[in-house]
Amino acid sequence: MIAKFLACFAVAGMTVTPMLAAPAAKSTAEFTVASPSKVPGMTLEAGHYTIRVVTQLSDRIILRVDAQGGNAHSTFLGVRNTKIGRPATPGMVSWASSPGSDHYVRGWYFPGMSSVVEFVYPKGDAVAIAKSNETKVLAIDPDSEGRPAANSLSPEDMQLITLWTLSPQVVGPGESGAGIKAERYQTASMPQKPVIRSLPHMASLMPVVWLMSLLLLMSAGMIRVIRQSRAKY
Amino acid sequence: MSLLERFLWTAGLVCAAAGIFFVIQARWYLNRSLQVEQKVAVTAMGAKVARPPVPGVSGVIGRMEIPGVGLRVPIFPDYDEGSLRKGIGHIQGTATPGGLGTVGLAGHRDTYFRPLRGVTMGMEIRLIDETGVYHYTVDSTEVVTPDRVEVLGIASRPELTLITCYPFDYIGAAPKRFIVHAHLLSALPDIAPP
Repeated sequence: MIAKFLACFAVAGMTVTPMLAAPAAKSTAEFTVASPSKVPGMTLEAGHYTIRVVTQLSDRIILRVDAQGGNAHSTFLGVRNTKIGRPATPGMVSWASSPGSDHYVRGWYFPGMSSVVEFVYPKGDAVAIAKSNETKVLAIDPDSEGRPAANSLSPEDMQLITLWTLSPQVVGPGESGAGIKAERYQTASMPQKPVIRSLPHMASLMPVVWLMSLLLLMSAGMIRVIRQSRAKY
Repeated sequence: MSLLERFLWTAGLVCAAAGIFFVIQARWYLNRSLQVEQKVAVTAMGAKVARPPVPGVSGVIGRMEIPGVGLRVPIFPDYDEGSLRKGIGHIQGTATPGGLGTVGLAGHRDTYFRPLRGVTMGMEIRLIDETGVYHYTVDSTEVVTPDRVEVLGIASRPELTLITCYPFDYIGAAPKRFIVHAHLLSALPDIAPP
């Protein structure tokens, strides 16, 4: 009796388990762009493209967009963002408002993933997007870390570069309108390599030059006075 | 006039001439740094951030102002001796003005950075380069040993760290460093009005 029960349970388990298992996330997608759209490091002209996940790290994802049949490509960073509402179907997620006449892609929803992957833009683009949208924008600033330009980052640079969030906010004196507040994006802490070995020694020779000049001229003056007083007597 | 007296007059006047020359040179570079701001006003309103700032013919990449202590000084791309004689130097590898990171600037305690002794919390610091005017607010000052390089590390928000030797009146190689910490108010720069 018990054996029959266990056998039934095992059969039921083998039948149900595949139904409950989530399908593996597809990390590649092909898409078509009808009008120019911007992703980090590249403007997508009308045409066919492929986007894929290159590497998934603990706090970020490396993505790559390739133009089909062409040499144009861009490799950039993305971050899973559970606060972005998932669209009904996998695909492109755009910003509600784009700066100027440019259309910026906010991120991508890959099938099987639990959240949208939000793209990380270079600081200049991120500031422009943040000005146009009342929400936080992810940004990097490679030049401020002594790294190559955003579209030339190595895989190691991409793993180490600091992520920031930019958000519109009225800040500080002298600002009549909205400013852009920047905060470091909370990620797993990485040891920072110091840019210099010790704080530089900061003393000018100018005070010594002036002091020497004063002493030399005073000495010359004293000798002249003594010489003239001796000549008088 | 004896040989000694002649030598003393000559050497004294040469030293005085050198001092006057350096003062005039510093004033010239400060005037050049004023032209950096004017270039921003002429090119475009809301110009995109251009990285990194490109030194002009004069080598100046920008200007720092601390109105609270009456400080106005040009910024050079490095902190070598030649640059520090004409202004203050940017520590390479740290953020550029307005950048997302910590901007490191170093200057001589007995010339341009002497007024730092009067800096207090809440004072405004302005960094001006080709992309506009960035506003920082002083958070704190501290005295540290030269090995405390973490003062240039990336913090939770974009910051500015000013470095000079301490004590300010020390004769010889000062043993410590005076640090001013400030944070960036807005990553969006002001564009100077024409």
